[in-house]
Amino acid sequence: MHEAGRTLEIAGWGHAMRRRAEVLRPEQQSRLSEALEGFGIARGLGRAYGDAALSEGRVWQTTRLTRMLSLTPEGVLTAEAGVSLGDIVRTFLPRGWTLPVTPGTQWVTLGGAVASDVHGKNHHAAGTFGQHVKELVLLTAEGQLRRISPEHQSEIFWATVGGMGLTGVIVEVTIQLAPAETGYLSVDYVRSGGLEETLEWFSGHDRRYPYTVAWIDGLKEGQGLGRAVLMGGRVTASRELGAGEARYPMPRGAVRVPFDFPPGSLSLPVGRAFNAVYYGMHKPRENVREPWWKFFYPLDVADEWFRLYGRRGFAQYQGVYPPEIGLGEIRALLRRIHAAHHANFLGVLKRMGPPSPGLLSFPREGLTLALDLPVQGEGTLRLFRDLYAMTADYGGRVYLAKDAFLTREMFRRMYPNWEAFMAVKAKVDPRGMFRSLLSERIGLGEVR
Amino acid sequence: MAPGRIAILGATSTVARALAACYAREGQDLLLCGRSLPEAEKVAQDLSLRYGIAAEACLFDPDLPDYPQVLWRLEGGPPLQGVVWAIGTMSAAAGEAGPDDIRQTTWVNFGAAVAAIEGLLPAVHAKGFIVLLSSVAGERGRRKNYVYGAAKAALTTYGQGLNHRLAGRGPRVTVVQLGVVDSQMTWGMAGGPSGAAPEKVAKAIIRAVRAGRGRVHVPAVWGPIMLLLRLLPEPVFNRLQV
Ligand SMILES: Cc1cc2nc3c(=O)[nH]c(=O)nc-3n(C[C@H](O)[C@H](O)[C@H](O)COP(=O)(O)OP(=O)(O)OC[C@H]3O[C@@H](n4cnc5c(N)ncnc54)[C@H](O)[C@@H]3O)c2cc1C
Ligand SMILES: NC(=O)c1ccc[n+]([C@@H]2O[C@H](COP(=O)([O-])OP(=O)(O)OC[C@H]3O[C@@H](n4cnc5c(N)ncnc54)[C@H](OP(=O)(O)O)[C@@H]3O)[C@@H](O)[C@H]2O)c1
Repeated sequence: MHEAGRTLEIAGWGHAMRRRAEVLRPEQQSRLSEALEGFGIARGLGRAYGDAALSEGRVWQTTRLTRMLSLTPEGVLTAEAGVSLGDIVRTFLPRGWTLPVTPGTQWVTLGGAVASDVHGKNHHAAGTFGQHVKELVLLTAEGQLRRISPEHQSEIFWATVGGMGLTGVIVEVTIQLAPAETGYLSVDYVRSGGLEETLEWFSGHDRRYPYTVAWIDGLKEGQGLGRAVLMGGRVTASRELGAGEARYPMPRGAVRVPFDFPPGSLSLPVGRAFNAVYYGMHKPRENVREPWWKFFYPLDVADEWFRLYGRRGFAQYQGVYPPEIGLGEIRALLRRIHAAHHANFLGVLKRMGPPSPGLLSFPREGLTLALDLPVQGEGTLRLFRDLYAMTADYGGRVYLAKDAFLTREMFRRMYPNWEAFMAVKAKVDPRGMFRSLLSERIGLGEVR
Repeated sequence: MAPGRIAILGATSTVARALAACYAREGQDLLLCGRSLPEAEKVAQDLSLRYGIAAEACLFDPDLPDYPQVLWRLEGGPPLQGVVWAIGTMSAAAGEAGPDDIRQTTWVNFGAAVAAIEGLLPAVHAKGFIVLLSSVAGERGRRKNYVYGAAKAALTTYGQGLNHRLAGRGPRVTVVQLGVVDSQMTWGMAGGPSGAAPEKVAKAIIRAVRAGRGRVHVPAVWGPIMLLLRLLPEPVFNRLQV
């Protein structure tokens, strides 16, 4: 039977990149196999910022492949790839299980979390999402469902973890959940007056906490450059809860940002004011108790907040640098951003731990810096080119799930495993069925 | 609420899955019947894992029609609390349909429903319910899908008759006249509106069943829309691009 698609304009989360594509949204695994024709790319909830989930051909969207299949007494969950992380927390937290690793939004799919090998605030302690995956069911170009794991067909497994959908469509994910004593986190807030203090905290203080992140004021210049609110969190123990307090709290619905604001609603002055208020709001405090969604997903309070950036959308710069990179280089990056006069809201800085075996996985040991920047034409392009060149010179790399500007040459410098990846791709996808705008741009489409 | 399970025929349908989830959330046990056993089993696994209910999958092929298979599962247990008929197909494109397409469309949408419901009736609790998912397409024939529409009109009429027959001494029958729903069926239709969310549709169906409605439009706006369309004089209607 022929599976029918729908021609739609779809976009990356930054909404600066859009493309018309034939989108298929199968609700059954057998239909997904039938829909595998021509060429294209898998897509989950479209939270990748750039063009990783866009294609000139077909787009296999998994958002209705949302069945959860089993949970063992040891907390090993098997579910279809379209299940969102938010759905998993809501379903299993009341039973004492939670995600081992989570990105800054809960509205990503299991498939997307594996394909980008996502990291969270506990990367230094727990590694990436893919490192907790026990098995995948991958639909490959020849229409075969392959069971792959770190033990079985491990080559394909580690090309698929972090592989940006280029080895096939992930259909099922089996993952070890983590026990959760409560649904709260106990958080220490520290305020740093400048970059030196911020980095000082990351040179050891952060090791005391399983979860750490710094919200950095990307617009502050001069003395206070690099000032930040540093957060260290740990799961609250059940004995710390008051009698009669719910052990596993649940949020209510999100607020919508209802329409496209005119371009420029997020201007420099607004950005400065926002950062200053945010910084001012977070007085140093210890042991503040927060429910899981406030700590892990502060941006999820408004769905579709990308609309704040207006029609032209925005892009994110996220780089990670080797351990020896520090004060001078981060300062130089922030100064380059200041020079471009781009507004931004809350950058993120964090020290990451050892890398995952995923061939194209982003995290590596060292600092990572992420900033959302509005797209303002040529100047933005130049800004990103410069930031990327600096990143490469430092021996670092940028995150493919956030990227919209990387060139093929730059990609190869940043991801020395690209050749090993292409060797696996040549085996599982010899005709290059799985292609995205990202893969064409960075030269991962050219299988020979 | 009567005890016993609810049987869903066409359990892998979008609307049926949403309905099943609503019932499961209330703790209701389910018998999920579909033409693909592996896919129906996945729906059953999902609902039992999420909501802790007992959900059993069962093969159901309207071409046979296999209702004895379903009956066999019920042996020794309490009668069914309800039956939901969710099966439907639009495979016959108007004007191009050959005899096989036509036979298939009328049988799957109408004949198979009658055969299955009549066959299962003895197994349904007298205070239980029967839901038939019909369509607004059956209310006024349109050039695009009148073969399907005609079969759904027959299904609606069957449901009314059954309701009449059972009134006061058997399960209540609710005929649901669905408008456009965002489902597997409508996704691939070129230029079509995206349709109502299945979860909202499911909630409205359950409300109508609980209220004992014999016939209901879901979403409700389709009531007045179809009234208007039915009243339009032919010369006007024939000029419409609907
Ligand atoms: C507010 C926000 C905060 C974020 N915070 C973080 C963070 O802290 N850490 C982090 O690591 N990331 C973060 N991200 C990025 C996000 O986690 C990744 O982009 C993730 O991949 C998105 O998942 P998705 O389901 O939306 O996938 P999509 O965006 O739809 O797709 C992303 C990639 O995954 C592939 N893919 C999706 N599903 C499948 C499948 N079933 N099979 C094969 N390939 C598939 C696509 O082809 C594409 O290459 C954040 C994004 C946002 C919007
Ligand atoms: N979506 C709408 O806008 C709309 C509008 C009016 C009425 N309806 C009616 O609502 C009901 C549910 O539809 P839906 O929207 O949920 O779409 P759907 O997911 O396509 O549901 C149709 C169901 O019928 C089954 N089916 C189709 N042909 C079959 C065949 N030959 N043999 C056995 N089973 C067959 C399908 O099985 P598989 O799952 O295996 O494909 C599926 O379970 C249908 O009766 C439909 O006619 C829908």
